[in-house]
Amino acid sequence: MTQWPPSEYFYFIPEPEKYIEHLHHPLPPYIRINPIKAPADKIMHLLKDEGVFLKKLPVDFFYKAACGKELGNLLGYHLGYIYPQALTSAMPVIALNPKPGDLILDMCAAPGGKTTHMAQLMGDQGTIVANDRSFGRLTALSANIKRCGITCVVITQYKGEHFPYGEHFDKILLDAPCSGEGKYRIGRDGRLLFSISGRTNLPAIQKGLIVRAFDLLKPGGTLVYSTCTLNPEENEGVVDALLKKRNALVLGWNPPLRWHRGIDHFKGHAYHALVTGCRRFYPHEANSVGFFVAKIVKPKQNG
Amino acid sequence: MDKQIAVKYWEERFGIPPASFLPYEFHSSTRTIYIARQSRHCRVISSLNKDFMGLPFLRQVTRFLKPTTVAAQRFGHLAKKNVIEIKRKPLLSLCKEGEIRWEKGPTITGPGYVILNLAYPESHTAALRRHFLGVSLFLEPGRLLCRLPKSMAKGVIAALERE
Repeated sequence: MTQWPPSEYFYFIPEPEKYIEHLHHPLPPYIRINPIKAPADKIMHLLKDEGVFLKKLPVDFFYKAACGKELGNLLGYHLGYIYPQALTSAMPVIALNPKPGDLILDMCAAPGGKTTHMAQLMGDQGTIVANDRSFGRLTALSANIKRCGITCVVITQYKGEHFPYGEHFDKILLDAPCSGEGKYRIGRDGRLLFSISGRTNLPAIQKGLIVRAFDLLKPGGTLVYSTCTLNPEENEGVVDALLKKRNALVLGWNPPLRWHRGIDHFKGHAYHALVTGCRRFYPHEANSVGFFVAKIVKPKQNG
Repeated sequence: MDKQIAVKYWEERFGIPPASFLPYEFHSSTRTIYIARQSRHCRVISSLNKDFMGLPFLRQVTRFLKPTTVAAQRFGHLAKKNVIEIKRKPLLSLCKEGEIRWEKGPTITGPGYVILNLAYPESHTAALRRHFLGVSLFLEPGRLLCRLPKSMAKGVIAALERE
């Protein structure tokens, strides 16, 4: 049987027995409708005619979808009317609050769910620099941008931690590579699904990325750091490292889904008090992928 | 290729006034013109090594210009001519066989690319049933050649086949 979650997670996961029970059920499919391609009522009519039942959710443009076929086989998908996307993955974008005309860097953008969501909220006006280091993942990113009919995105291929200094951005989204624990499920045979094994030191990579992202912000600009993992070493630990190195502030915000504060210690390490301003989303409460979101501001007078 | 050629093509072939493209700027590679939203940040990002910028808008195919699928989907609703309304059955035939017979009709001005407008479902009002899929090539006398990307054509078949 799978030993998941590890015992040291029990103190911060709310109602851990419910979380463990929830791991045995597949996550429901969610979609975001894309009004850049067509008016919302037209999209809804087409989906209904394709046999898709939609349930409205407290996140704008997001619906829980039920239909007899794969969402990727719908005509609405091929027309770019919909983007299948985990409900909680909207939270980093909502925290960043993109507005028409903004200059935004999406540092690890592929496959483009958050990039296209931001473009939608910006009304396809402004500029998003969608960056990803992996050529293979850029193919998926560019295909999704084209499918969604977006014209305000520029694609670049830099290693995030080496993204060139030059102009500074109004807002930066750093949806960092992570262990993906928020996606974990337990299969019928008791095995852990979607788990990633390897020796990569993810917290070290994430700490390099968050410092670079912060340095690329304009004074007064906003950085959102997010992951889809529960692991505090990849979440609060990374934000804590930034707070020690730079004059950064963590802002609280009110998400439209049930959330918990960031934790203040893990495995004997006490984190900076500000990390409790981060937001945690758990799979069994959101019925979606687990997420961590930190909204960070660079003060106008940065020392 | 430059902006003037691109905008002139869309005006002459599809009747879209050049003013519709005023909020955009155009960039070209060897055989493709991209359309990108104008932004006050364009100069700011000029120093970056860009993989691409915006949406593919028009391609040079041999000595002809071809509107891209994504541009037809995004801007098709602005077209006033050379748009054909195609129903589910002939569209399935077009996607499966690659070519069907097609009466020229008053909206087609002559041989060249036409924008495919799927009437689906046929019972809906015009506003709700118009879905711009991409382009096909109309040739005299009465030939319509599928020019949807293969993945899109396969997707349309999978989506519309009920059996």
